[in-house]
Amino acid sequence: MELSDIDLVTLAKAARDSAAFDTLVRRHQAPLRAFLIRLTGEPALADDLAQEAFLKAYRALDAFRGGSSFRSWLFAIAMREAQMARRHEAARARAQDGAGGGGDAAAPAEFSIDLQRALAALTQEERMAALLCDAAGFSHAEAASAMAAPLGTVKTLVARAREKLRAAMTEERTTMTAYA
Amino acid sequence: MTIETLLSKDFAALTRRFEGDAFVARTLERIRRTERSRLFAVGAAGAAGGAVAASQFGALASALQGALPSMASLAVLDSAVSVDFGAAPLLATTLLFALVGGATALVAPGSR
Repeated sequence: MELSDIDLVTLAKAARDSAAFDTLVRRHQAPLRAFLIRLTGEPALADDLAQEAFLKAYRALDAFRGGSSFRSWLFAIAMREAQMARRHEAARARAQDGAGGGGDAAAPAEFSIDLQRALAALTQEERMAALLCDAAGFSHAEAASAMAAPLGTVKTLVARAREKLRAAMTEERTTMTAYA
Repeated sequence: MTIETLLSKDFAALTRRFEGDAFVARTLERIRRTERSRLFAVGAAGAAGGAVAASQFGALASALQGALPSMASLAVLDSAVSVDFGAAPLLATTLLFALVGGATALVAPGSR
């Protein structure tokens, strides 16, 4: 029988069982990395952030009280890491005064360029909410817990993000048709 | 196709691509490396603390002996029984160290 996340966390905390935490890493690494890639648009950065999030989760496991699901707690750590990386990147870019760098981040070949552009046009919060709820399959409540935001705010962010994405995709297709 | 479907299909494809690559091994190795470093640091600090405490054991025992001269020997029940407190300072020092060690273990971070 497969153990639940909470069982594994309990084992990892109580018995100092590193195998239990290994299972948690195996279970959540792929969705977390996929989420971070779509959030940041940079696969290498996404992997670094995911690794950092797992490390911080391991160190802070005793602080996890089970008030939310393990994955929303883990994603919350990862999002904080992403926000910090974004701030550092912005500061670095300002220091370099925009010399070089910039440009579109590398996207995996199979990813729709339209969707990539449309996602990039959203605000960070809208992108987080849309990716958590529509891509990663979080409930609104889980996303609210991960984003440390009120439930109503998350619902609004998701609705607004969908609307913007729909509009951006339609516009993109219209432009493509006009050029064809 | 709705935006929700588009996003979830893309996410599922991306997730499948990440199953079984080297990320898990890399991450677990990094966690274990960090844990080993932490244990080494805690072990080194503990050993240093123990050595410093051990070097003070004799001095503390002498200080306690000097502070409790009247307890060297105690007559009980009209001298029917005589209790020798000669070892009391050593015992008190040991208990004091055990107390400090226990308190440190209580407040020290857990295994991570």
